[in-house]
Amino acid sequence: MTYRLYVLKQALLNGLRSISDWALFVGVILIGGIGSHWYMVEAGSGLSVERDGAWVAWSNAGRNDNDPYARAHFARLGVLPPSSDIARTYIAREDSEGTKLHSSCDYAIESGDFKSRWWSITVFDSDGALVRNAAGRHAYSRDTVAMGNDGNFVVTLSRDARPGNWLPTGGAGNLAIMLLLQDGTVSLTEHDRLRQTEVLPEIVRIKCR
Amino acid sequence: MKIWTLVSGINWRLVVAALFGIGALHILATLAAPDITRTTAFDRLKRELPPNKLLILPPMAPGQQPLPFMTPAQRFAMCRFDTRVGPVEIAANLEHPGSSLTIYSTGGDVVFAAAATNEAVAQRVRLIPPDGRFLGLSPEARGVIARNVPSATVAAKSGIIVVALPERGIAYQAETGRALEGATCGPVTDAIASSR
Repeated sequence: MTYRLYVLKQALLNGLRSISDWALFVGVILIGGIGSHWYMVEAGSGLSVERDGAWVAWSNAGRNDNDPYARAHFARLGVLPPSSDIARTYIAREDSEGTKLHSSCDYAIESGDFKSRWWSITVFDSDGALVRNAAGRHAYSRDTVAMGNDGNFVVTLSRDARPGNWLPTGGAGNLAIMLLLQDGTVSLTEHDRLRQTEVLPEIVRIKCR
Repeated sequence: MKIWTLVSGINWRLVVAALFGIGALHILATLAAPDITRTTAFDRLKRELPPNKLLILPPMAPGQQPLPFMTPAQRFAMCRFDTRVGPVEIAANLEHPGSSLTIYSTGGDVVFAAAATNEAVAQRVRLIPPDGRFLGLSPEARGVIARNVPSATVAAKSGIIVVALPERGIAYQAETGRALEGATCGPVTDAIASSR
């Protein structure tokens, strides 16, 4: 009887050891496979994403020859990105020092006019929804921004009213700023030249509360 | 010596199998993501947009964005096209910088994109079914005069067309609205071929 119990115990232990080995094996595959997929689709790599300071753009956004990571990224976001053949869409979720953008801080985006034919700067919450504010201001574009005499402009993001080009951030929490640069239908070489020579503005944190 | 003992104890077959499994799962998850995601742009819009009809969206405001990251710096009109019943034509004037006409497949890929240029203001794109079905003679083949020749013909089954015009300030809002109302999206008929 004791011997039988011993054999049963050993068989049970061996079975458990085998199951735990397989569980570990499957767990490693699940974590590795889904984790690497999530990273490549959410954050992107140098193959699919262009980074310029705080600004991040998916190189093949909305193209017919989209890479599968860009396709999965925009499917998950639920957006229809402008084609990167005619426009570049940059999203910044951090300031130029690498700190997450937050509505409790004030920021300044200073730039000269862009080389692209048309541009817009829009502030969203982290999910891409417009921030509710009494002023009803959410974006500035080449048509609506107030330029200085030197041809430069400053867009200020703040919870409280600021003079000039003020974008209210309300109580949105984490923020995302979208910079859309639209070139028009130009040749691919001209498009690449514009892409390479465009100077993107810094997002400077002024103060936090 | 200790490292060697550790290395020699590794089941390399299992390691290779795990790497293979990780790679396969990574590729499968990436390729399947647009099909298994239930919140793609097309899924969100297909209930809101009638087929083959242009819908002018109100100016973007909090709570009124049909999709995330849609800027209020532009006004939008959208059309859910379906070429199963016949060719569909979209026409829009892209007059000012910031204007664009983009045609997306259901998977979110761009099949046609045009932005405002100095050369071509009027864009007229004909969408035809990609499967080579015979859809009857074209209006031109039946002797109906085509006053407007499409600037492009694109093969696509279904998807979303987005016309975006820049919001140039309060003084121009009515003009922008009229320009959006002037855009059309609908099946190609004899009337379209002869009257426009």
